[in-house]
Amino acid sequence: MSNDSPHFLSREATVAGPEFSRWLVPPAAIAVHMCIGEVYGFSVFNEPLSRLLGGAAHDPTRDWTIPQIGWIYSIALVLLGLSAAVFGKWVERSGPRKVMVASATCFCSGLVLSGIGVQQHWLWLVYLGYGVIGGIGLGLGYIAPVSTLMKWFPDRPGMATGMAIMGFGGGALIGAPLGVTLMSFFKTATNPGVASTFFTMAGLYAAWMLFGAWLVRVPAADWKPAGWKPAATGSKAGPGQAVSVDTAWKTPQFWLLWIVLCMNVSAGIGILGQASLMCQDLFGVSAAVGGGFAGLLSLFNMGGRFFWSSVSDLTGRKTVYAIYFLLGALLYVSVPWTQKIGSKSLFVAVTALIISMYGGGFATIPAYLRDLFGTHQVGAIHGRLITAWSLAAIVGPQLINYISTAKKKAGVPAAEAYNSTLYLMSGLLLIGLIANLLVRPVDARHHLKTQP
Amino acid sequence: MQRLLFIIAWILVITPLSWGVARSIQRSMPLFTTGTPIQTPQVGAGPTNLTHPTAPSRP
Repeated sequence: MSNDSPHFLSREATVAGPEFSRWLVPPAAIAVHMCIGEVYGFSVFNEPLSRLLGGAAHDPTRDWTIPQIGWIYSIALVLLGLSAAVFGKWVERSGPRKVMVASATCFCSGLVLSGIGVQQHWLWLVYLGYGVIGGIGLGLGYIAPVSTLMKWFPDRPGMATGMAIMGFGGGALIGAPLGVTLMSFFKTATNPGVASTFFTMAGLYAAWMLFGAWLVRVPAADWKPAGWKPAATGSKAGPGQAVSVDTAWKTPQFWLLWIVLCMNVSAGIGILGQASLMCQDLFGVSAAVGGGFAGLLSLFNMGGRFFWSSVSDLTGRKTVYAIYFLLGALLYVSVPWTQKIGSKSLFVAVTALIISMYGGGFATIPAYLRDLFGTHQVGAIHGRLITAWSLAAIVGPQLINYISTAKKKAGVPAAEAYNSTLYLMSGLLLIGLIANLLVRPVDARHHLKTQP
Repeated sequence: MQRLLFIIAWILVITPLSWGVARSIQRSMPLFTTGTPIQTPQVGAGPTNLTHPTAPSRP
């Protein structure tokens, strides 16, 4: 290789030739997202991690407790948000390939370190590996393909990012059964097989993520889809005028979208987090059926990401968020009614629709940011916005759990205890609706003087 | 070459996703097939697990 050749990982090396099909970029993005989405399947390791020394049963004197293990997941989520916010500008500067490789390195080496931590029974190493280093990999991988996809699909930015973020949702559907399958393969009478599972997953995920990194390309500066005529910048259908990330987060539009995302996440937790128990308590079904219900919601969560973000390309982002919030609020208050009339099918249909819109809310946010701030640093701006999700994902479940537990302890029937939470969720969605309706185009004084 | 790469790339991402989706559907089938009678919760009936922490959502 001559010294003039751009480095394989550099942005210059990823500029696509004229023959490159843009439809190769979504599988590259999905390959990365569906691997890092494994974090949502982490709960399958909770119970095995709590009996590493006890063997068949938890040894309360030596084994890790479930709350201690829960911190692994929480640290990873916090680091996801922080790294997306902190490294956003570097992500934009470096291009998607280098960031995807960095993400794969962090995420997979985090899994390996955690495997060693499990073998040695060093909890601090699992916190450092899966939580800190793996969490940084999650944040990098999450925002890596966002702006690249929108540059390849200026005619359908919602659909493009929706596909990648759908992959993240699908990661749990793959990661959880994969973890269970591998543990049942590696387990012995005295060892639940967690460490070997982590090592194997690290290898598998590294292969998929590096494949995505190899496949990804950025379009040439003058590239545009065949036959596509760009809408005027700043028009309803076109991207916003370019705004830098350092300026964007000081605008009211950024914080209104921050509220939109935060309310969307907090409300979604109302159903997702309590899905299994709610189904059991409201309709008297078994724990296995309740678990199946939670799995079904995950499916709609994933499908909604693609469907609703694609719809947003036709309706506009503000309209589709108004649908999420208004229809979502109505559906939330109708959940107690489905229980009252005793219709399990209607209950499943209503909650599935709610969750599909919740997933849609996540997947449509990057395109909404692009409409307001342009594609220049949209990945970095998206990274900072993800802090809304981090906060809601950590604080929201605690708040909801506290309310429903307090109600039940006070002797309120289970069904009514859920009602309070559902009405609260509905109120949160209305706050999100107001924030969405207040969004206006960014003031011209914030636009970059020299458009990229 | 581009076409072959296109096919391989999509197969590599669709296969694991389809596996996950199939597992999820398989797991949720009892929801529609068990025919469990719908029960109205009794007043004072306690939850099955008060301390169960709610799971964080997905970004």
